[in-house]
Amino acid sequence: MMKTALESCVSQSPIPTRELVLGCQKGERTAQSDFYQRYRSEVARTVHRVLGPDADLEDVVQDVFVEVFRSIEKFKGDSKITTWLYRVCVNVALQKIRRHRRRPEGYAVSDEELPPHHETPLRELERKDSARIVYALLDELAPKKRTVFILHEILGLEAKEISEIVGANVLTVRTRLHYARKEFYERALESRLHAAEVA
Amino acid sequence: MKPCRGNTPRLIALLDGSLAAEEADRLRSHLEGCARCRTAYARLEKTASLCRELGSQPAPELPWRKIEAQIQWRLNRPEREESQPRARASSWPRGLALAGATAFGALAAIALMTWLAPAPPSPAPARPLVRAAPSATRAEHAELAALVTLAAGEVKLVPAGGVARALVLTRPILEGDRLLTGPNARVGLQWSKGSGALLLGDSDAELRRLRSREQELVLHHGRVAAQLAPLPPRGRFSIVASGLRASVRGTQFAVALQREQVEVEVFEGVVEVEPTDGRWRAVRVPAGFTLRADGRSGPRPTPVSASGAPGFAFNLQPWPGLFQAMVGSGLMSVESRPEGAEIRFDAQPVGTTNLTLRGSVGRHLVELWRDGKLLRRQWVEVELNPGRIALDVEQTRPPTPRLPASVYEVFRRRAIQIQQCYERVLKAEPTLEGKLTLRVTITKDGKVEDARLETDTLRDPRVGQCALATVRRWEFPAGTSPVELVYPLHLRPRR
Repeated sequence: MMKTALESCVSQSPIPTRELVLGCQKGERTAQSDFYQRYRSEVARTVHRVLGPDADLEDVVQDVFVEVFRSIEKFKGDSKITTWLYRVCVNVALQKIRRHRRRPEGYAVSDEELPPHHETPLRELERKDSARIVYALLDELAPKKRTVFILHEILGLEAKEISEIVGANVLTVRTRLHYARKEFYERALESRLHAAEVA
Repeated sequence: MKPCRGNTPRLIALLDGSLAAEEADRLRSHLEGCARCRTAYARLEKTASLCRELGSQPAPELPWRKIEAQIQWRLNRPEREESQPRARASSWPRGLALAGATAFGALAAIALMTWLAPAPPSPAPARPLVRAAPSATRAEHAELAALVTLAAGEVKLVPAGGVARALVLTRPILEGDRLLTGPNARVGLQWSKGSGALLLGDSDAELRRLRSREQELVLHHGRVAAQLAPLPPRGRFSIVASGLRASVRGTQFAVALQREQVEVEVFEGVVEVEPTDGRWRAVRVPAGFTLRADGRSGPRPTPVSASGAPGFAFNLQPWPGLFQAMVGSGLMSVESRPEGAEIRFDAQPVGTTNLTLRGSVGRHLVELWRDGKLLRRQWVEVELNPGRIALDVEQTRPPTPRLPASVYEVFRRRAIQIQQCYERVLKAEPTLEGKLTLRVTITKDGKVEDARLETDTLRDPRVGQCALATVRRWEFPAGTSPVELVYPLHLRPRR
């Protein structure tokens, strides 16, 4: 299987992951800082993909790392640290989604706070608009279905890896994915996603 | 445009390849002849492609340093929930009561100062660092956090309901936190623009209330000074000590407490002092006056002229908000030997060595003064990570005048005579070796006034005695002033 960006990131780093994790488990400040520097981009990317362009990424990334450093002592090395990290990202994001559903106000962050992409303004606008529609459609899925859908369709993870991340067996993941895909694509066909094309 | 009835699930299955081969072939044949299904399938493909594209987007750039600082702050925050009952002094470990009643019997003083500065209203601290009360007046009751602006000596922190531990200077101080200082220790705090407190040595104080409109500091023992920017309407800062409450809304004053006798000295503005049990009505103490009162009993006091004691250095920071102040500043420890040299940080007096200071990230000028004389001046770079500079004051004394070369020349030429002293004894003791250090004082006309042995590690004292006798006979070129030189000699047999 192709290396994920998270794993590529790890292999380039001079400090072995095991030592870094051990340092974090002991609560060493420098290890936490190194861990943060190593994984922050991928955590942000994962959270960004799970929550969409309107999420308050700063807060969620913070939540993820606070959760990571508070619970890393429970990490026994049964799975890859990247898988475990994905799991934390997904769980924190799920909490955010649930909270957002209960209390949607005050959730959005203005576009101006998002970094500029190296695209033409029009393409950037279209991309953002499409992304918003996609995430609006995802918002209609149940959180668990949404999670497996994002992990599979957007992050490109296999069912086995997803099962480790979400803590469910592979069959359950496949079932969830089947229904998530069905619901999502059916809604996508009727959404504004293709409005311009129709016009 | 919808696909043919019942075809949507099949098209979705075709998209991810989960359709059986035979059925997939049939569907593909159907797509060739059905424009609606073909369009629908194209849209599904486009949607799937869009999802994959979302996955390939680069990681968004975020203010990483700020986020890391927030993470560390949250990790270092005491683990307590809003619902957790807050233990008070009664739940303290016995050893931390700082001598309890005995401490109250000792000399105790509070000093409180406020400045009425025409500063704009302080901006609200950064969102994650302010926990707002869930009421309509949340802005008024937003809980603040204080930053440590300076610290010296032993300082302990007792979080609400927690146990005492050494103060971590990078950790903000929260409502309910209690601080204890050792002898000659002190710790400075700041919670908003222009407002902070300085807890001095042998003190014990608790930040009982730290809200945007109301701050209350309870002094259990010792001495505390405070400086306040004007508070908003209905805002109040008060220090409660031994049954007395000194309240201000933006003035400058000082309070002292001794054996439950409270002394309030006002430097600027007016301070209201009242007993907490309301047994007498509030006394207004104007600038230049001191009020002495019994905290627990006694009649209503009258202010008298103040002693005119100097103010305190709080090292208050620019305050765009707690978080910004925190991530935009670092700690610098300034040390000297001996301690007690006055530090001026960017020309502002901030206290005496050894002291850890907070300063904005960047270059700062540190000066050490003693008895009104500048001992050392150095530029330092304050970074996010705590730094340290050690300025050895003893080495900053004026250097001794350089010895004339002619004096050294005499030593160099005549050292053979000392060598002969050694060699005479060496004949009897062939393994004799060691070090001699001579301290010689020469008058300005070239005579040897004094010659002493600084060190003598040779086992035989005859070498040293001979060397001193030899040196005392030497004559040096006359100079403009007496000189003293130290001359070390390593003596060992030739091998």
